[in-house]
Amino acid sequence: MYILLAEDDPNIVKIAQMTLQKIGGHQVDVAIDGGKALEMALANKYDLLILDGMMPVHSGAEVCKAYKDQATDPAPVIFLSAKSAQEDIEEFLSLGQGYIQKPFVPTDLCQSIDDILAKVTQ
Amino acid sequence: MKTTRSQLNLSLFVTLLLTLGFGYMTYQESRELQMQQSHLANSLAARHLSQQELKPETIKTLESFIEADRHKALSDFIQAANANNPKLLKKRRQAFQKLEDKYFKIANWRIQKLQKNARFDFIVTLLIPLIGLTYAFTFMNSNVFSPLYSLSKRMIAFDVDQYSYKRSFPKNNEIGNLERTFNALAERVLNNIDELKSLDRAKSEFVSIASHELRTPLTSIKGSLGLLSSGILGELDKESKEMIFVAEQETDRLVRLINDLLDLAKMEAKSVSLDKKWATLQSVFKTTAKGIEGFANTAKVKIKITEDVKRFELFADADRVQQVMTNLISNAIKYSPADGTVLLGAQVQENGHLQIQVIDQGPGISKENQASIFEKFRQATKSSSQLVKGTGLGLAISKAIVEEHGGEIGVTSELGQGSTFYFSLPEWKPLETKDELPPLPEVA
Repeated sequence: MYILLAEDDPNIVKIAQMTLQKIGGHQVDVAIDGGKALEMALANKYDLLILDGMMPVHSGAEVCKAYKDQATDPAPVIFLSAKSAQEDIEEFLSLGQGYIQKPFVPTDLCQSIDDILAKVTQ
Repeated sequence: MKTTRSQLNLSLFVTLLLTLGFGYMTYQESRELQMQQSHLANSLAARHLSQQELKPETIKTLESFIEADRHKALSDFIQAANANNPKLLKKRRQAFQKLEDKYFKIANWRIQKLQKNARFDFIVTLLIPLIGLTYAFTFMNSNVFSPLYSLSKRMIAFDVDQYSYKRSFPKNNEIGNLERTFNALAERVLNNIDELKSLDRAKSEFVSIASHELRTPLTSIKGSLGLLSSGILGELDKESKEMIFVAEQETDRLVRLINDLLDLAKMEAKSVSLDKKWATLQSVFKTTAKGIEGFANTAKVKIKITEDVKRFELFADADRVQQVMTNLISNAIKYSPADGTVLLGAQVQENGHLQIQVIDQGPGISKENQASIFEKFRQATKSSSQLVKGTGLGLAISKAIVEEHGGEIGVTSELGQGSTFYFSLPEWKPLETKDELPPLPEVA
């Protein structure tokens, strides 16, 4: 899969990218803030967007809203966030297709993504 | 200040004074009336006697009838009778009778006037207290009772209806003062509530930001360790693997601690709304037991459910009750000896609540420690099993959850005798046994 990973923490970027590439075998582009993420998401044809909840410029939720509004055929969006409040999770699930809680276990991350995408295509 | 009391006192005093005044006047007039009536009778009698021959006893009676102002006419009359002069006697008798007639007329006129006055004053004497009391009652009603009633209505509304409060404009009297005091108190309470709410919001915000900030570095740590232990970055030797396992375990513990802290902060801020539904106790127990089956197996502890558990249905937030049960059961497992048993039971308490028990065969808890273990970060002893290290918040969270349901949590234990942890839930019903019903036909 061709995945856009939007995350501002460089260490988490490194780990998530490595996990997606080495374990999942996916191709990964990285955006380090919400502005770049939206630009790249609209410019390229991704299979999946993984968005952090809190990023500079635009939050994950804002990127998701703008992307779904502007993209002609939007790809599924999964939020990867350290937020755990009920209302945050509800917002993520209403905007995107899934939510994965940080911290995540690398070996489980690819499985969680597959599970969410399987549910979407059903 | 124009007080209700002084106004009432004044009106009652005036009423009393007027009543006494008119009463006294009535009394005086009736006495006067009596006197005039006796004079009238005397005068009539004297006139009658004067017609007869004046014998000594007649004279005596006449003298007693006539007052000093008419004695002259009488004595002239008596003198003439004694002088044996019929001409003079006739003249004197006539003079006496004329005087008596005049006197009779005056007395009669006076009596009539007095009767009229006395009747009027008597009615006024009766009317004044009636009017005074009616006024006092109306005055009390409009200045005391009805404002008191409306004030008490407002106070009850404030108490019952979640601090509903409307500003009022009290009168400048005693009840008005009371109302003003209530207004000030209510406004202070509302201000305090606002302050507490904003403090609470600040606290929740702090906890949620702090936990987010703690989770971010933990994501990197946990991720790095996960990638290392997965082996995709190259195989590690046994000792390195062990070290990474330790680091992973402790990272997980930190994550649990953050989750628990956040959970507890939410429970304490009462920002958790319970999602209450009917569920059988057995199903809640089974889901809980399934969740910690792996842990129980590793610790070689058996979980047994008593028959009583099947008899009840709960009205509660099943996820939250499960959280409490998971906590109590995993504690029980942690402190149980290998091959021990953890028993789950249920019974109805004296106060009508349903009590759920988790009984273990562990080392027991001393009396001093029994109260403090429900506080944050209190563990009586280090767990014998090092399978899962606790955060020290499990029982505090459980307590908050149970109390939010309106129940109680506690423990009975003796050192060396094991412990029984229990919690009660107020809303439950006996499960209707469906044994008698025929099984439903299966739909393909």
